[in-house]
Amino acid sequence: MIQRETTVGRTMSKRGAEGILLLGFFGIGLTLGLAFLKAPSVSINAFESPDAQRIFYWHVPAAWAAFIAFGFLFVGSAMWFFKRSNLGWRMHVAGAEAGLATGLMTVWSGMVWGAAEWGVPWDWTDVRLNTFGLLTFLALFLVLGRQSQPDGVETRDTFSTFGLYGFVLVPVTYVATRLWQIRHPGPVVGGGDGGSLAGEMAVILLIGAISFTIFIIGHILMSMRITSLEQRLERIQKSMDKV
Amino acid sequence: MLGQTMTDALLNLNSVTVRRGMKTVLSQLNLQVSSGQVILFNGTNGEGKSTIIEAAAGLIPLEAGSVHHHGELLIDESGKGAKPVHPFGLTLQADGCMGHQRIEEHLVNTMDIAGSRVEMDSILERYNLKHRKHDLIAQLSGGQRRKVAMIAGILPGFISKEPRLIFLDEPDSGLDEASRISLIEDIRYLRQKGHAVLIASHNKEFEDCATDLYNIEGMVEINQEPTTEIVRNDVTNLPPKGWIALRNGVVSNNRTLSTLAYNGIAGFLTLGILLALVDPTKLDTGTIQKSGLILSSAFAAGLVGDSMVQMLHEHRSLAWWKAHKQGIPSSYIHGAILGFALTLLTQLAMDLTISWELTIIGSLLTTLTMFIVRMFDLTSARLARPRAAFTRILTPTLILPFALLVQWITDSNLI
Amino acid sequence: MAEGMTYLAVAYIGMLFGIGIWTWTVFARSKDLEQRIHAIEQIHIDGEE
Repeated sequence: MIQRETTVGRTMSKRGAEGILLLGFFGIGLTLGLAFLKAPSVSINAFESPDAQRIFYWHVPAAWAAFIAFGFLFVGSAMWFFKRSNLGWRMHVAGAEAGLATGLMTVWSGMVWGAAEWGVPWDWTDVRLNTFGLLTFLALFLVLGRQSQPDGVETRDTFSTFGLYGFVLVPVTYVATRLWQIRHPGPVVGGGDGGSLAGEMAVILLIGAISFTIFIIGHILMSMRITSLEQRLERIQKSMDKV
Repeated sequence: MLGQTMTDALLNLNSVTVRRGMKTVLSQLNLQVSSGQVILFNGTNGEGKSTIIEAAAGLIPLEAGSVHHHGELLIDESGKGAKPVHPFGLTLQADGCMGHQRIEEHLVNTMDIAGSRVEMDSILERYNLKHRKHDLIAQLSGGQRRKVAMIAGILPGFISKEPRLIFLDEPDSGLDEASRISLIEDIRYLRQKGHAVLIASHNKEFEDCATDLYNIEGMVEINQEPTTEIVRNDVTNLPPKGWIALRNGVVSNNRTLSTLAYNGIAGFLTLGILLALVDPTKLDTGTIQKSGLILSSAFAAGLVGDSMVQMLHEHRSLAWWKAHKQGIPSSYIHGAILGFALTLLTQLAMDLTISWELTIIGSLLTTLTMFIVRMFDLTSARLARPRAAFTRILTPTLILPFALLVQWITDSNLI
Repeated sequence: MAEGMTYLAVAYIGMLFGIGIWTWTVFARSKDLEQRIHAIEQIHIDGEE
């Protein structure tokens, strides 16, 4: 017998996720406007391309959002792998999709800024840049791979294994920022000596970070909801197969 | 059987729960099989006959419970497992053999895994395969290939003087009547010798040699009286040969030239493109670029992965090798030779002084890269559609280690 | 100066495009699944009646 979800419950969960997503989207739009209009210009002595430096207000928050997404991916992968948690699997799926999108945004904005600032879009000897690229490729593999397979323990075990392997690189990425400063700028917040920001820059960056965080959480909630719906659809279809 | 301890039983499934896809196929299954038992799993489709066989052979991860062979743990729910103390016979539903192997090679592998070699002509003759002994499995019909898979399953029973476990999943599928009669007689012989046989099949003819029937309603004893004694000539046991997986990898690569075709093309193409676009006379010895260019064809060859993995997907051969836990054939040796050759060739083609250290590094680079990509492929092997997973998407992640290697070589002044 | 602004514009347009496409696919998938579930539930209810 097919149990119907209450319409009220379903609507509230959907509205909540959509609301958070739209709030984050508005915040990102605000960040964009502030970056263009309000952010102070940087010195030509400090930067090769002072205008392109404004990419920073999106690049850094996107990277931060990607860290959150990959964190979800790792925790979800671990929850499925060790506890067979369905919630964990939904977190894995959501984290992979969000990580792919924000990873691509980070890599894209970083490449454009790198081309402007350093003259080359990429540096293969920079550990942080490449670790980020690696995580994005991992996310691409997980998203495409999952879509090619039927849902089941074999699929979930395999992809959560890859999710766990990949996450080892997240702390490496952060540590690399501290230890290696080859071409990529060092951390601008909490970076010790020489790592402070002018007031206005810090405010706009903070707005960006909060906006991206809210946006990514909204996306993750929507994505988890979608996975739930997919599972519900599968259950209904299976019960109808038996009729 | 009543009063039986775990150490008496050849096979023990303790509260085994197995999921396949989203379905729980086995739930808290307890089964003990002792010497001389022949259990026929004859349930309807979807009841889990193959799953019981594969779980008992340690092929499937368990959600709960454990599997013991001869009292020793084979696999449990945490994934902890051990090499089978006593080799067993296994016939999978999908044959488990590769097309480029000869019949005798696959059976020799089986014997080496089982612990000794015996003369195989008499058993091949019984199944009308003696004249095909030297043929490739790919040249056989489906029924003949099935016979080879079935013989590989029962052969450990003929070799061993100690009781062994024999797992047969649909062994009669595609067999002609004469072969089915021979198979039933062979199973009776194995039972007489004290081996335990588990058979998954709908074929009622197997009830003639079975001691128990097992289906969704439980286990029912049948046929407990001793059968007419079957006399066979004693076999002379010869020592087995080792390095089974390594040997098979080398033979496979020599016969199919798969590493050359699969990895070599990528390496040669890379070299060709470099030669077309790069002027070697303008390369600065002190820069990173030179060592990177010299190693790039070896690296590209490794990035393609191990061609053996593709061949092992044929007829679930990979599952057969995994079950026996004697290693999985690989192409590392040919990969190392290829890497060496490509690096040497690149230096010659660019008219550079040969650096033997760099050439050896190229060899190791191809092998190690091949190993990592092979791990990606083997991790994905459990998927329903492993080839649709595009593990190659992960290969760009190896570019950074390559770049760091190149930087180290430059700093070390190896060229 | 103009070159720096060009890079900035390219980056921002790319990001906006990416975020827009991604958000749209999430909404579209959610809507599609809800419609399919509703349709199947409706078939079942009609069958019971």
